[in-house]
Amino acid sequence: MLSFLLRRLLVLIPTYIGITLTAFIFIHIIPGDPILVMAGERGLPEEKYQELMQAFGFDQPLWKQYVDYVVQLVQGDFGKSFVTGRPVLDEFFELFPATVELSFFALFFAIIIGIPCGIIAAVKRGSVFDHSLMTISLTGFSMPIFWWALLLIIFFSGYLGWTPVSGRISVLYFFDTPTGFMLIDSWLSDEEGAFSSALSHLILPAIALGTIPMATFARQSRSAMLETLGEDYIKTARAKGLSSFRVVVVHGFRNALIPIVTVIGLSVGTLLGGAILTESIFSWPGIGKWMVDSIFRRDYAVVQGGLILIATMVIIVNLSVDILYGIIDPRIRKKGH
Amino acid sequence: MNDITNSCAKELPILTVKDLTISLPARADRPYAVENVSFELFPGEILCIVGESGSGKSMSSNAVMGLLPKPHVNVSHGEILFEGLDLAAIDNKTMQSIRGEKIGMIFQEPMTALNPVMKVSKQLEEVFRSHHLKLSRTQIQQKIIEMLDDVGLPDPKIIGNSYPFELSGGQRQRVMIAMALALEPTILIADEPTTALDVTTQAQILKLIADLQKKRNMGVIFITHDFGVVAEIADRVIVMQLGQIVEQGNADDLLNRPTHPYTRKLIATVPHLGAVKKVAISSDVVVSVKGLNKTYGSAKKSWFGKAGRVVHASKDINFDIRKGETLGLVGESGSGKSTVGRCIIRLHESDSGAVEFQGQDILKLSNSEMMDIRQHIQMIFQDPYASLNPRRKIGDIITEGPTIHGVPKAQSWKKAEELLEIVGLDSYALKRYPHEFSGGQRQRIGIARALAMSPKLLIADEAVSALDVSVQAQVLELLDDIKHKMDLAMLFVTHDLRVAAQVCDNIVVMKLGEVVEYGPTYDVFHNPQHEYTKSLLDAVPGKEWKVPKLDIS
Amino acid sequence: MSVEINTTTATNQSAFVAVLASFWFEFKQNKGALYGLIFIAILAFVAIFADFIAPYSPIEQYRDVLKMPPVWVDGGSWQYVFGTDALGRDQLSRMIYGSRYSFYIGFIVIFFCLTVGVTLGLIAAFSKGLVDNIIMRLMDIILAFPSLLLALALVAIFGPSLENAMIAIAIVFIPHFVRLTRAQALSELGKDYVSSSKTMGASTFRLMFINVLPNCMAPIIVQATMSFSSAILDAAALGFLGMGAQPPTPEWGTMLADSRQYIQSDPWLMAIPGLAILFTVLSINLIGDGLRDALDPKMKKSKA
Repeated sequence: MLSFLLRRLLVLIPTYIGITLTAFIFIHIIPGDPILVMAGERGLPEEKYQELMQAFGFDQPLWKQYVDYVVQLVQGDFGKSFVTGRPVLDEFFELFPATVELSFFALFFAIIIGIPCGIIAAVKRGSVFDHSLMTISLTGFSMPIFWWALLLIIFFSGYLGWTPVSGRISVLYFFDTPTGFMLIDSWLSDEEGAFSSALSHLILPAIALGTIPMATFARQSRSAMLETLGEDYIKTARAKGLSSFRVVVVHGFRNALIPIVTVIGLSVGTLLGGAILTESIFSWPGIGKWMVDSIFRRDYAVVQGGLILIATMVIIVNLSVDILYGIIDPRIRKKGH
Repeated sequence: MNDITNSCAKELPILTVKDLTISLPARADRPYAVENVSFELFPGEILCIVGESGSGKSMSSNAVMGLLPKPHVNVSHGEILFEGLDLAAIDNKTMQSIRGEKIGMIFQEPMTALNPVMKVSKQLEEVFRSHHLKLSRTQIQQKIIEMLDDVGLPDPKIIGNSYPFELSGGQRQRVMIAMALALEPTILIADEPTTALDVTTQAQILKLIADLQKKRNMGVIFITHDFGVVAEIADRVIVMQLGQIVEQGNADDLLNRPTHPYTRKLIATVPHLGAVKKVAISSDVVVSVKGLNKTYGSAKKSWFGKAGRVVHASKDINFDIRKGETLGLVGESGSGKSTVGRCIIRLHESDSGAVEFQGQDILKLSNSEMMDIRQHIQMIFQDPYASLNPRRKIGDIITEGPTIHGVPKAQSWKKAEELLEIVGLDSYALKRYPHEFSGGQRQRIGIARALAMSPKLLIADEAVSALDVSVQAQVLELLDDIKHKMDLAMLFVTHDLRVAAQVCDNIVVMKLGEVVEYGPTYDVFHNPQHEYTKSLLDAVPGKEWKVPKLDIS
Repeated sequence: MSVEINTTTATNQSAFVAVLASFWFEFKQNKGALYGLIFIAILAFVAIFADFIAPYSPIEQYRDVLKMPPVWVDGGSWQYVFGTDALGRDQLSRMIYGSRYSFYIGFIVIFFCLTVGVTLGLIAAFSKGLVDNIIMRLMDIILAFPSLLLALALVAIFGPSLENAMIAIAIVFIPHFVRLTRAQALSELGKDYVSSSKTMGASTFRLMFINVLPNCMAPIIVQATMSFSSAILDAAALGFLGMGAQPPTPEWGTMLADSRQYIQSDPWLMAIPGLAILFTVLSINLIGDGLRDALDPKMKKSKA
C-alpha cells in the first residue's frame, strides 16, 4: 500500500510541473501586454510602466521568469491580485470555506438520495420505479444547470417567497466568522435567526448544485449494482440462504463501491474547484465566483494562482480516492499495484 | 427406467423432480431451457447430470435452488418435491431457509464464486448467522475451524483470515465446499465444480466430495460435461440434450452399455487414455528449440529498494519437431507450455536460447527478416470467440495473411474458398461475420486462416479446450487429417492428457517452466519416469474406465 | 450457440444489412431512445430548413412589439407564436435558427474529439513506455482543472466567440476520449485475433486501424454521443456567462443570458430556450443510452 502511494506521488511530479507550466504560459499568451491590461483604459506613464515591468519580472527571459515563479510557488507565494493587491493565497483561503460549505451540502443531498435510488432501481430492474428513476435522473443529468437554478429562484424565491435570492446570509446580521463556515459561525454568534437565515440561503444553491451529481450517482450506482448483482459470488450468497437485504447490501453494494467512489471523487474535485455557474447565479462568494469575476476583471494573477490552487485540490482529492480504493478493496491494498 | 426405481425402492427419494419445464424469454433460440424433466435423488448417492453446453443441465439444478434468473426465466410447469414442499412454488422466505441449510450448492468458477472483498471466515460465519442457529460467537469460530479442517485445508486459522484472492483455485473450491456443507445439508448440488481446475487439483476435489458424501450420507447432484468425471464418481447418471433427458440409468450400465444414440455418440467421442504404440518418425527436423529461456518480472531492484520477483515461464527448454510429427506439450496451468509456443512464433520475446528453423535461429532475426519466416509458422488459438476479429468478414480474416505478404486479392480469395472446403465449411461463409458461427465452426475458420499461409509448422495452443466433446473430436480429426495431407509439423499445447494421448507422437511434460519428461507418447503414458508425470496420469478422472468401443453408424 | 441468420444468398451487402438490422432491433427495444431519435430528427429537419420554416428573420427588431408573451398567454398573438424578446425580435424564429447552432457546436466538438482524442489514445496504447507516458500525463494535466473553468479560462485567452468556445470545449473533452480509446485498445490488444494478425506479420498501422480500432468503436460512439450533448450544455453555459456566442447570434445559451434580467417579469423569455436546451440534451442522452444498450458486447454475449 505504501509503495503504491509512493508510486502515485511520483507520477504526480511531472503532472504538477505541467500544471504550473500551463498556468505560467497562460499569462503569457493572453493577447496584449499584461501591464497595460492591468492599467486599463487610463494608460500609464512610461517610468511607472518600467517600474511595474521590473516588479513583476516581465523584463526577464521567459525561462528565468518560470524558474522564479516556481521558486515563489514553493515558498507559498502565489502572487498578488492586480485588482485588490492582496496575496492570492489569502483571498483563496478566505473564500474557500464558502465553497466547501456549499459543496458539502450539495454532495450530501446528492449522495443520500442518489445512491439508494440507484441501488433500488438495480434490484428492481425493469420495474416502474426503475423506469421513472432512470427518466428523472437522465433529465437531471441533461439539465442546463444555470437555467435550473433560475427556475428554482423563480419558484421558491419569487413565487413562494421562501428563500432569499443570493448571498450567504441576510445583510442584517453582523458577527465574527472565525471558521468561515456560515452555518457554524451563525450558530456560534448567538444572534437570533442568524442560523436559519444562513440555512435558507444555502438550501437553493445546494439543490441546484447537487442535481447533476445526484443524477450521476443514481445512474452510476444502478449500473455498478447491476454489474455486481450478476456476479457469481452473489449467486453463492443466495445459495447460502442469506436474506435478500444482506445479499444486496453486504455482497452487492460493497463490491459496487469502487465505481461509485470514483464518480463521487470526480464530483468532489469539480465542486471544490468552484461551482462557477451556481456560485455566479446565487452570488455565492466562493472560489467559482472568484475565478469568474477575476477572468472578467482580467485579474490574471488571480486566475493563474487560482488555477494552480484548484488543480492542487483536485489532485489531493484524486489521491484520497486512490487511498479509499485500497480501503475498500483488499486486492488493491495487498498487492499494491 | 422402471428397474432403476425398483432397485432403489428400499429407500424413498429425498428429491423428486416431476415434469419440470423451464421457459426462456421470448427471444431465445428455443422456448424452453428444460422440458418435462423428471428424476429422483436418493440419499447417499451421487447423481451425475451430463450434457453439452446448452443442454439445460445447469438450469435444472438452479431451479431446485430457486436461483433461476427471474423474471426472464421461470419454472412454467412441474414440481420439485423436497421434504413435502414443492420448491417450484414456495415463497422466498421459506426457500431462503432451505438454501444452505437443507440444500447446499457449489459452482464452477472458484475464482469468482467467493466475495473478493470479504475474508473467508466472515463468509463462512454468515452461513451460521443467517440461519438463526443458537450458537455463540466462539461456537461459530470453532465450527468454522472444524469445517475448514474437514475439507482438508491446512492451517484453518490462516486460511480463515485470508481474502479469496490470496488462495489458490483448489483452496477456494475447498472453501466453497466448506461453506456449502457448513450446516450439514441433506443435498449437495455441484455445478461443474472441477471444470476450472487443474487435473491434479480436480482429482483431490473429486475425492473430497466423494468422501464427504459417504461420511454424511448426502445426496449429491453433480453436473458435468466430462465423462471421465462421471466414471470417477457417479452412482447414477442422467444424460441431457437440448433440455430433455435422453437417458438415465446406473453408472455402470450407462457408461458401458449406452442405449440412446446421443449417449452412444457422446461416449464414442471420449478420447481413450491409453496411447497406441506408433512408429518413430525419422523425417527431417522442422524446428529445433534449444535452451529456450523466458522470465517475467525483473531481478533489478525497483526504486523503492525491493527486489523484483522473477518468474521462470520457461527454463532451458529443448525439443525437436519433425515433418509429419505432432509433439504434445502438456502441463498444468502455470507450467509455461503456452509461453513456449508463443516464444517460438515470437509473440513473446525470449530471454535466451535458440529456435532453429530452416537453418537459421529465428529468435535473432530482425522484424523484417522475420516476415518471410512468418508464413511458415502459424498458430491456432484456444478461444474461438476472441481469436477471430468480430468486425471483419471471414474472407477478410482468412486472406489477411496472404494479403500482407503480397498475394493478389483474387488469388487469395480463391484459395480461401478451397481452404473452407478443406475444413468442412461452405464457401458462402466468406462473406459472413464470426458471430454467425458456432464455436466449432469458428475453430475451423481459425484453422483455415492458419493454413492460408501454407505453414510448415502449426502451433495449436489449447485448440480444442474450449469446445464440447463431440465438436472436439471432429476438430481433432480435422487437424490430424490436415497434418497428414500437408505433411506439417505440429506443436500441440494442451492440458488434457486424454487428448494428448490420442493425437501426439511425442510428448513433452512441463512443470513450472521446466521439462520433466520428453519421449514417445506410448512410453510416457505406459511407463512414466518422472514422479510428476505419474501423478498427472494418476489424476486423470475415470482412468479405470475403459471407454467401450461403440458402433455409432 | 450462434445467432444463425437464415439467408440463402449471402452477398456482401446482406451481411452488412443483417448487422445493421440486429443493431436496429436492439436499439428500438429502448423506447426512450426511440423518442429521443424522433425529437432529434425533427430538430435536424428544422435546423436544415430554418430558412423556409422561420416566419421572420432571427435578428430583425420589431420595435413596436417588445416582450410580447407567447400565444397561449394573455396578450399573446398568433403573429409571434413564442412572443418577442426585449428588442422585439421574433422568439420562434430565433429558436428555429438557434437549433442550427446546437448541431454546429455538437458536430465540431465531436469532430475534434474523435480525430485528436482517438488518434492520441491509439498511439498511447500501441507505443507504451515514454510516448504513452507523455500523452497520458498531458491528459492528466488537462483533467486536473475543472472542465468548465478551464474552458472559460481558455476562451478568455482566445477571446469570446462561439468558435473559440467550441475549441475550448473540445480541448477539455479530449482527455476522456484518449483515456477511453487507450483502455479499449489495450484490452483488444490482449485478444488473440490481434496475436493472429501479428503472426501473419501485420504492420502496426494495420493492427491499429484495421484490426483494433473498429473493435473499440462501440464505447467511443457512446462517449461521442454523450459528449455531443455535454458540448451543447457547456457552450450554452459559456454563452450564458457571456463568453460564448455573441449577440445578436440566436444561440440558446446566449438567449437565456439576455433574458436573465426579465426572469420575474417575463419568465417565458427564459423558459423557452431553457426547455429547448433541456429537451435537445435529454434526447441525445436518451439516444446515447440506447446506443450503449444496443452496442454493449456484454449484453450481446448473454444472448448469443
